[in-house]
Amino acid sequence: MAKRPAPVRQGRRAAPAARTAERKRTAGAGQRDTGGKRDAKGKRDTKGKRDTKGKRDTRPQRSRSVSSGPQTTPTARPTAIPARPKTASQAKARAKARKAKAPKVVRPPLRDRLLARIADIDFNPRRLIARVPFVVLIIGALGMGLGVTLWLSTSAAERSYELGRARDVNQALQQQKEALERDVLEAQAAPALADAARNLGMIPSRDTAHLIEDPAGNWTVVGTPKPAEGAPPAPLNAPIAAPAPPPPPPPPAPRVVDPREMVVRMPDPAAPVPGAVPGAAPQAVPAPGQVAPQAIPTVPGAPALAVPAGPAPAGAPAPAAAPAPATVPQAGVPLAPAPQAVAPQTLAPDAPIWAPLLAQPQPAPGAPA
Amino acid sequence: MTPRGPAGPGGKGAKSKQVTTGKAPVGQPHSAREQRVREPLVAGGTGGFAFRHKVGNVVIVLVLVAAAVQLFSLQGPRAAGLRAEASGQLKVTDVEKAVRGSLVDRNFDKLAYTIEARALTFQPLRIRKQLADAKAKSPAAPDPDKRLGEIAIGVAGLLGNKPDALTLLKKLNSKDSFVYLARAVDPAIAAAIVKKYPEVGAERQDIRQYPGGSLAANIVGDIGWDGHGLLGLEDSLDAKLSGTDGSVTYDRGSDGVVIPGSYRDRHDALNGATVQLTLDDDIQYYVQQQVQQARDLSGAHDVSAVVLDAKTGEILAMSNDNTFDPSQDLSRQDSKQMGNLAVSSPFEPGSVNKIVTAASVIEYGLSTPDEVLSVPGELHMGGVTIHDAWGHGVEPYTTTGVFGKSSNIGTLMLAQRVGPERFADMLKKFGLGQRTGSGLPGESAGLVPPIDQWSGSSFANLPIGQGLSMTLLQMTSMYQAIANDGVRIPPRIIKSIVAADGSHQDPPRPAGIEVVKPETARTVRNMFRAITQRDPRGTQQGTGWPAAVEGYQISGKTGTAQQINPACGCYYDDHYWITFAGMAPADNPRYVIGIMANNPARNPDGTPGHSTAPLFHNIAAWLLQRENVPLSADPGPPLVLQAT
Repeated sequence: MAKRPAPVRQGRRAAPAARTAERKRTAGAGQRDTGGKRDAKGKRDTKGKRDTKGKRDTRPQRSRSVSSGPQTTPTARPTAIPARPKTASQAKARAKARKAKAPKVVRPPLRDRLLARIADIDFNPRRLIARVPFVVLIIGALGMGLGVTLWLSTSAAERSYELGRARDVNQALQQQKEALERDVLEAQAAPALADAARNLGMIPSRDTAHLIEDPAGNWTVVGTPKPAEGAPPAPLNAPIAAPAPPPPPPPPAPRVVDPREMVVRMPDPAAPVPGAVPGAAPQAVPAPGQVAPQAIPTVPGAPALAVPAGPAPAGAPAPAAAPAPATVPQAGVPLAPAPQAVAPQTLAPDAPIWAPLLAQPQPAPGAPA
Repeated sequence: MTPRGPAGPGGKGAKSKQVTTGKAPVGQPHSAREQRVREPLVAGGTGGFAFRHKVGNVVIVLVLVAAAVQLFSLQGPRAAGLRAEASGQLKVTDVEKAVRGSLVDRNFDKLAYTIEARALTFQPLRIRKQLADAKAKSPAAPDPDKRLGEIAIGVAGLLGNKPDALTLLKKLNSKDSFVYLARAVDPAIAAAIVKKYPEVGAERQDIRQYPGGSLAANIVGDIGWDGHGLLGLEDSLDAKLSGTDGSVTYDRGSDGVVIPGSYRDRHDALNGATVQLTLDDDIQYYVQQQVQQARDLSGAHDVSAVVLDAKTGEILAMSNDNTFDPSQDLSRQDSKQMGNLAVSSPFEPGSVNKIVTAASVIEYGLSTPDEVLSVPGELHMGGVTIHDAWGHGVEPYTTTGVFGKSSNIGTLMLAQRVGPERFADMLKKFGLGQRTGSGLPGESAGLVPPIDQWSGSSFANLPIGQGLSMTLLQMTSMYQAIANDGVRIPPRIIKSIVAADGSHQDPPRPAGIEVVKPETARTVRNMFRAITQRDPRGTQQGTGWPAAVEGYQISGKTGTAQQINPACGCYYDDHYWITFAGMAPADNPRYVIGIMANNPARNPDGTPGHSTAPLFHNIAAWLLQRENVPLSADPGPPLVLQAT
């Protein structure tokens, strides 16, 4: 502020000039009053404090005009105030005098004023910068800091979301990897490999023969080469047999016969009564699926047996003759050349479906408890 | 600031007065009329600014003093208590579980390892109450019973019906405040379940995987519900395997948000060490499968087998039949064998122990393999009469033949040349009566009567393998000494312990014990080829000829020991421990195999007889072929068992 250059100030000359004029006048009035009105002032001494205080708001210039700086004490110092006019006429006279004394304010037209202002604008950057107050700098810096902080924290928050997502994905992938590794390890463990080999129908070879070449280049067979034979070894890890489920309510018949092993003989297509067969078979074949677990396995067997009892022997292979396909699809049996093989297939899937309904808990091998 | 406070009201009062009294223009003195009508201000009383100033000062000082006192009391005397209270409300300590180390075989194939899984939890009482409340509040909410049924069916479906919906529903409807619906659930499945049914919770649970099931379970063991070892090496190496849990402490606000920068006392979890065993899982599988098959076919009470590396004494396979499966529920395997019979159950070895006599006789130069002995049909010794397993008159057996045909009488004749002291010393050198220190838990030392407690008949029993007991591992270790040119290396199971940071803590290699001279060992190995020698005429045939493997020289010894009848304190006539120990190939031993069958009814292949030689044959032939062991250069010169 102190460095403010002189030319800048010139434009504002009018107002300060008026103020100084007033100041001078007040001082003059004070001096003038002090002459004969001492008694009046002494009389009002008690009220003086109050008055000055009350007037401070309304006439700040006047009280300030005497003291050169801001008020530093709670109680204002007594100042020389122009004595009040005693009469109305005196007041009028004074007002008149004041008006007469007051300088005439000559306002140039707005257009001139604007032009002057515009002409005053200095585009010299150095001076422009010099004119920028320090506060603006500070405020600017603060604002910029705030902005940068906001931007940083926003982007940090955004990235933390991204990070969280990435972590989740990473964890899921990790778990997936663990699960896959577990599957691999389980599949490549020796017992699992042996099971797989057994499922392929492989059996371990024993006492393999060796071919050796002697230094002379002759090959001799050591041992007796022979094909591997025998049964594949039993699996090492058999699922634990669950505690036998309580038997289904009434076992009416010898339940020793496993329904899966039961042979259901399909009616021989070459039977003398082909018309009766399609009717009988659909009844007979669904029966094992639904009835077998509750009722006796002999029930489905009975009608089936009854049909071929006549001419066809039990083991007769049933070539896909006309009546056979008619009966078989109705029974939900996949078409197969050998009826003996078909019957266990149809029964086997049915049994586990019905068993849990009848007997809970279901034998669940390896169920975590 | 301070002095202006009381001044404020005064200024305001003056202003309001001015507004009421007149409309004097600002900057104008009071008019004369105003001066006349205005009532005078009362001096004194409380109206003075100085008084208000003082009062204000006093009030402010009082407030400040009160604040200072409170501050002092908070920061001074009550500070410790308040701090503790605050930290108690804020402090949270999280435990970071250490991952249990793996057990791997010598090729780093995993026998047991830990993966992360989830346990599904449920709070039946609380959830039912919540559901009932929700139903009471809005009729649109699902019926509690229906919802629980939905959960049961849905969860069972996602879990592949293990456990099934009915079991789950029973748990959901239970009166407990907390139940586990399922354990060891795959994390992905658990996440799907929790997302679909928020009533169900998931909690982290490490599960131990045993990819081989019962493979080597007798050695590896199993862990309990708390994640700590219960059986086998899982138990004995628990300190190394389980690692150290880590922890971190931090503060958490009442809204559950972590107070930034409050993490402290961070201790990283130290994962458990990986223990590498000397086992080979393929060999172990084959041996275990063969042992199981042998037991099933022979009708034995139990069968065990051990395979040692001939040079290093490392246990390559160790199995007994009917091994439990640690990957399945232990409580349902009561009928399974939970122990490790090969180290825990000693037995009387029978003729297998004759190798001590054979080694002593050769070591001390008391006989040669070709010396012909006139072996009588029975021998009175120490008050007992000894017979051979088959009746014969005086026969001209060679020393080789005595062992090849397993003649008790011939063995005792040779043992008498050795004498009790040297014999007892040799028993000790072979490691009998002492634990092998293999690192397997529950190891038995066997029982060898001290020489000062021998009765008259002791020396008539010990050379033929009765009256003392040993574990299968000890028995195999004896033969390892002969296979390793007379240096017995105590068998061991732990190859290496790799800590989580990769540092090795390998158990020191046990020092070898020189039992006999290398030449003695070679002679004995050659002599014991007689056992597997086949002679169609029978005269030069050994007792264990089915053990022979074509193309390889095989040494071994059969054994048949009578079992003790606890009822009479005597030996049974029809209960036997059938043993076999041998090495393959005999000219350059690679593997030592010991087998024991407890009272089999038949041979291991189901044929009539009492011999475990066929089992030895199977294991040895498979091992030699799998490991590409070169064939023996020649079958070895035929041995003379019976002089003509």
